[in-house]
Amino acid sequence: MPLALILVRWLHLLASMLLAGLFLFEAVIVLPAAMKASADIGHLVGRIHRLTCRTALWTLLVALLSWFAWSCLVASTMTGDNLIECLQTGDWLTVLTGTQFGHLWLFRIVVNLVFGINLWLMSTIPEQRSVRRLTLAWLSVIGLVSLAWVGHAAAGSGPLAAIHLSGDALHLLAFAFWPGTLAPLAVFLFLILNSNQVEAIRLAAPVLRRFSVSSLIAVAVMALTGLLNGIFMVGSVHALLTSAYGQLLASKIILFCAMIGFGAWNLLWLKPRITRDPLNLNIGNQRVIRLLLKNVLREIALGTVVILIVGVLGTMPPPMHQ
Amino acid sequence: MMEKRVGLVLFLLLQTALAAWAHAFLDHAEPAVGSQIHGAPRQAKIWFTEKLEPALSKIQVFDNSGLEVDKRDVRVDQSNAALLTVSLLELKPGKYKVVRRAVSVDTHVTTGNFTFELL
Repeated sequence: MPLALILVRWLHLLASMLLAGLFLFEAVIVLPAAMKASADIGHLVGRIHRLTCRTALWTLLVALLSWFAWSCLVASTMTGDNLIECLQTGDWLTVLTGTQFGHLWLFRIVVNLVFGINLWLMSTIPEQRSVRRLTLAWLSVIGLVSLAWVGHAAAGSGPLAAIHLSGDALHLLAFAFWPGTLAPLAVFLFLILNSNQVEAIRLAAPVLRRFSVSSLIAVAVMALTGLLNGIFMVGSVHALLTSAYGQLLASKIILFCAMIGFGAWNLLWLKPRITRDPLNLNIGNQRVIRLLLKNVLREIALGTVVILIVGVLGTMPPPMHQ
Repeated sequence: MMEKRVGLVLFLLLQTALAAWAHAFLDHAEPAVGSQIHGAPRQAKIWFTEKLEPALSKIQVFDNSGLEVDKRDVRVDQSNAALLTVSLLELKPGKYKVVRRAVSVDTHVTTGNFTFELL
């Protein structure tokens, strides 16, 4: 059961993060950058949009299925029944209608369904695309941020609980921007590498500039809210190093440091080579973009392991609460 | 260079976040854990470390022969969502076992028991 719950949480967090990242990347990074671009890149932007919608559709399906599986596993844990008993006896419904988790489950189902309807409308009706795109970005961010309400912060009481909960919500919001937008960035880099158009390659410069700014802000917010959460959950360096929870968290820190390494490499060495003189970028500069793409893929691989560790940590009591 | 250093520090700090979900542990109880008391209590109360789900949390009190001696009216206190209470029948001197199952609002379950003695 814990293994299934860990995997389902991992899958759902990945899917929710990707949904938010997809539309934030398009609405906040690519489109503003494309508007400033001098060359005609409508074809590339259109292709990115179609890919975003198609990926979002499949990701939404994974998010819905994993959210349903999460609710079954949690209901089984909360009631003490096995999975089949839980569904047969109606205890699953008791959990959905009578607990905070259940209310959140229903709320997020509604958010995801509205998201799905908007996605379908955007794919079929060309009018008001920019409004729908923003709606989709907002809905996916709400879906991700609302996960704070199944976390420990939501169970706390007293005046500090509100600060803890706000910190968690802000942390998830930042999470949507980074590493949430890494996967769409990888697809974007792959597309421009295969476009063989100088205009398309030149779009990389403004996109990377905007990505750097948004990811740096996201990292700053995550650092502050992470520190806050660490105080509430772990409490001391000693607990970080000696408890099982702390040691797992420490392994996550090591993996994340590796992500930082790749991020720093991209930010400080590769990005300047692309953005320094974007007008002189040409097909020959593809090598730098290819290197960048490889690093982004490495960051994504490490990020998925980090999120798996988050799934494991979710089943363990933190030192501050033992 | 400065940008790089700031970035590294921020990322290191970041790792304490995305943390986790915790559990409702027993904070204290009335009658207290392992206590010897004079005068029969009318209620058993347990304060937990987290807010509880009223529909799924419970306390049961048993006497030495295993007979349940509570009124099965478990409730979460309206002013303190981390306090679970159950009314008791008229208790006679003897040892009693309090069994708890707490479901916190972050979905985790903790179980346990303790005893107290009525002198």
